[in-house]
Amino acid sequence: MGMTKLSVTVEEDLVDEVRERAGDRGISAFVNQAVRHELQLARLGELLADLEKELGPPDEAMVVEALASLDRLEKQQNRTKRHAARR
Amino acid sequence: MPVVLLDTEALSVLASPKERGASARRAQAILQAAAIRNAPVRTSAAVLVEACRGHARDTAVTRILNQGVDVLPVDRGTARVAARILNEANLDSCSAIDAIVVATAIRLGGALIVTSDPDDLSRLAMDHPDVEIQPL
Repeated sequence: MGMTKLSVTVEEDLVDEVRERAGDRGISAFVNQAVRHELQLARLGELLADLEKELGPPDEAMVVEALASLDRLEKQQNRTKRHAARR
Repeated sequence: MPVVLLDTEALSVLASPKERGASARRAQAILQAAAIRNAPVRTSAAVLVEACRGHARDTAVTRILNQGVDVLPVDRGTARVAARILNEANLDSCSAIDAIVVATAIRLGGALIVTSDPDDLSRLAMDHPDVEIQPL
């Protein structure tokens, strides 16, 4: 994919952590991924707005249930990661 | 945060939510939960083989794919994993697309697969606790 140089200004407290976490991948790759993620969420917001027009607001009990599924899965993934790290 | 992975039916339900009643409400709730938790919502390119069959709802499916549902390619590694779990589950290649969806989830290090066909998918994901099947 083509790349374009972009000059951005970032709050100071973020910079050190970004440098540390970006590591070998480099800051550009890190920022690129963060922007991609943020755009995806913004677009997902549009999809949710469209769905709300057709279906009304999301059912709260169902959302709570789905959140629980995601949280349970995240815990499971962390267990797997810890297990793999120990081996 | 885990990825939310949509199978063919999940995509179809979102493409024509009004006609799909309770399933659409559940799919809407899952996407809402994904947005709250910052979880990316994705699908596999293989799913589009079933979901885009030249019907009127193609346009609706395309719209959804442009709205934050990323399409993941099927690479060599994913195909190999799909073949292996298909064999292990004793399923034939009629379930190839299901197997690719589960293999995609495995290669992501786990995912919540949203589907209306939990039986086959659960069978394929049997040995993978990081893959959870969320029926619609």
